[in-house]
Amino acid sequence: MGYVAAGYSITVVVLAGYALRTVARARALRRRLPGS
Amino acid sequence: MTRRATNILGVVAIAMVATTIGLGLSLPRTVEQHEYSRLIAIHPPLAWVSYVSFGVTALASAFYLWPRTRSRYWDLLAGASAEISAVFTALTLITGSIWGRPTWGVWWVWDARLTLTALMLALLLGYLALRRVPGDVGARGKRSAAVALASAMVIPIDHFAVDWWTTLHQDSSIERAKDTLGGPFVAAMLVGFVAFTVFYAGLLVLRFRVEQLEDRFESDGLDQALAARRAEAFPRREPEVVG
Repeated sequence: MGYVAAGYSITVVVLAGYALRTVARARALRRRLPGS
Repeated sequence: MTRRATNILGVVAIAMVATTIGLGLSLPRTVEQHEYSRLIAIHPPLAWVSYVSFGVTALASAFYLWPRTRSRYWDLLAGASAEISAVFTALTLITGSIWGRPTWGVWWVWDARLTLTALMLALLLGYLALRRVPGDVGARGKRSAAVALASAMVIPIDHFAVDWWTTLHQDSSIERAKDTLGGPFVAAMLVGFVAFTVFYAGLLVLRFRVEQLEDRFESDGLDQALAARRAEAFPRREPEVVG
């Protein structure tokens, strides 16, 4: 089960991490750009 | 797309990916591959999205290169989709390698499919690096679009590599699942295809917004720098007080 768990875990962590990072980047840019 | 629509898309995408994971992990063990067949719910869908997202980059690049449809919108869309494609291609390689280790006995083999997928990741990273090269926005956009279109040739070659060459990698995942694994495996994989495609759509909306904001930030920064240089070159004289 270790390989299967590793495959699923890595996929979830990478996709969730990338989505959260993208949201954070958008928020940071909005803060630096007044009026957006 | 409104914020409400984006939020709904995000919730649907997360729910669908969670369903895929639930279905995938509940698949039965098989005689041939034991529990490792459960990776079928995520590995082929990840590969599918890597192709779709790179295809969107190529299509947007073609629209950017075509003078009648040229717009900054297509250039930003191409860049946004390429970054997502790089993430999905990397995940395709990682999950494939994890699947290969217990079934083939090796983490990696220089097989046509694997090598071409690695080449695809290298091309995507090269394209993203090219987009970061400083210079005129228009020239950079055209250069990047030409590279994206040429690089996208790897998609059909990678997809048909298992038919054109003798590879350790199996042939079409759907055909193989139908013939050897059965209904639940095909269903889980098809749900995975839809779920990861919807997730990609949600990510693309978010990433495209970042691309637009970065573009605005870059042009605002340039305007401020030009204003500062003008102020240095032509300082305003204080009016002389007479009398």
